[in-house]
Amino acid sequence: MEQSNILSWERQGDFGILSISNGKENYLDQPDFIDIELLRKWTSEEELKGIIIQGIGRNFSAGADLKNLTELAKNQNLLAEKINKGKKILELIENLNIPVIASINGVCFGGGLEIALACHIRIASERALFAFPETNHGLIPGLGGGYRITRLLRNKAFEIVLKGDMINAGNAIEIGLIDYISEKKDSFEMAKEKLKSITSDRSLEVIHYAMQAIHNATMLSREEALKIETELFCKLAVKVKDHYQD
Amino acid sequence: MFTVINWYIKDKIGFLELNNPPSNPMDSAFFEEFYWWRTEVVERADIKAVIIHGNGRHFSSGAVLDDLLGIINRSHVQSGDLKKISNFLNKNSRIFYSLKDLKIPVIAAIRGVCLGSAFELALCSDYIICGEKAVLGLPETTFGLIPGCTGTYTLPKVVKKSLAIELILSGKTFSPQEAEKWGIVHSIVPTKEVLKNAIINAEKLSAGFIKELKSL
Repeated sequence: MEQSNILSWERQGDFGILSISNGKENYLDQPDFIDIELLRKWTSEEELKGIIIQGIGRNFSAGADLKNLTELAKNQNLLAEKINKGKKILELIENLNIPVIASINGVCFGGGLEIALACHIRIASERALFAFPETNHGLIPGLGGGYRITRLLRNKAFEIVLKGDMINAGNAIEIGLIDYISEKKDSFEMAKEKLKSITSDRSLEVIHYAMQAIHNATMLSREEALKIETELFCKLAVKVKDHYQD
Repeated sequence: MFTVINWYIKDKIGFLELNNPPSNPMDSAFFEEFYWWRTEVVERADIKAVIIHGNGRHFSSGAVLDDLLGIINRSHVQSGDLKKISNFLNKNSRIFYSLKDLKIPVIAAIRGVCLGSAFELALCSDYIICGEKAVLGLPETTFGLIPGCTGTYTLPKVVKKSLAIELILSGKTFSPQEAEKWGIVHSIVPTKEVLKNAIINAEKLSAGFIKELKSL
């Protein structure tokens, strides 16, 4: 297991487990809560087929520590720089060519919810709670969470962002904020099962190419996305043919 | 005029029948004829809607893998890279997607299996009707491939990205009931009534059709 500040990285076979650990609430001490180069190193390890992001203990993460943030805000330039770094971290996670599942127990607020939204699949325990409390403190989500939740939920996102309402797992699955509710108190096992079920018989290349093509659907023009889809298909087709001939 | 597809018009509705029973596979001949139909035939026809369906019990089992792998491999060996074949096959994607450029509604009427490229074709239509026992899916990854004929582009536009990732990576087939819940399929009817229902919907949809509804 490797450790950096509030995050730790552990391999469980083909999977990487990224755990948030900072007291009971797993506060994000800084907007740039991990050195991006270290995260890049972890997530580009060999034979890695998927990642689970979880919080250690009873909560996923309560987001930014307001006291810390107020202190940071005294230096506007530094804060802006840190927030930009934080955005880059979440973009790195979102654009990974392997599936990333958020395993959410307990509170998932603010920056915690922003991390969860950057994941590809969200699985929560029954007692999970979600909120963007930023507007209650005269702030808005700062790491791209407002954008991501609006893309995911369309107009259902307004109330969550603007009113700072807290919603439970049942509501969250109804509006589409999460994908599954785990029957067990800890959603980790279900997250791992899900990851297994979508990756275990797949080669790394198939996973990478499928994820890349799906990312392209929302990031590139149709023409470009379809062109790359065919190219990736052809690359795999040559491998499959080789495989048949072996 | 065509062999593996069959094109006929009845009461101003055009029927494109996938005609290579029992499973109506999409071989090279299909893609050639479909291209011809799309570029030279359908827009000249005096019709108000198109219904795509399969001859017999099934819609289509999708692309013929041996065909496709053979073509790609031969081109790869001959030209030393994949550019040429990739450009050639990209034509299939563009022609599938170009159903969205037609100014009339396109309805996929699905009985039996509708897998791989066949499901990709259905995703490029505007309205999907399924028989109760239809079998849908993009199983490409289970063969070491990915969907290669618009599926990775269209599916994440129709369903949320998390589900698109699951369906494409797992490659598992699913029922029309699941697909309806996810917003992929518009209506489910008894298998025997699929075509009849498609005609009813063709009448309804063409009456007040706005082309802008087709964007994806």
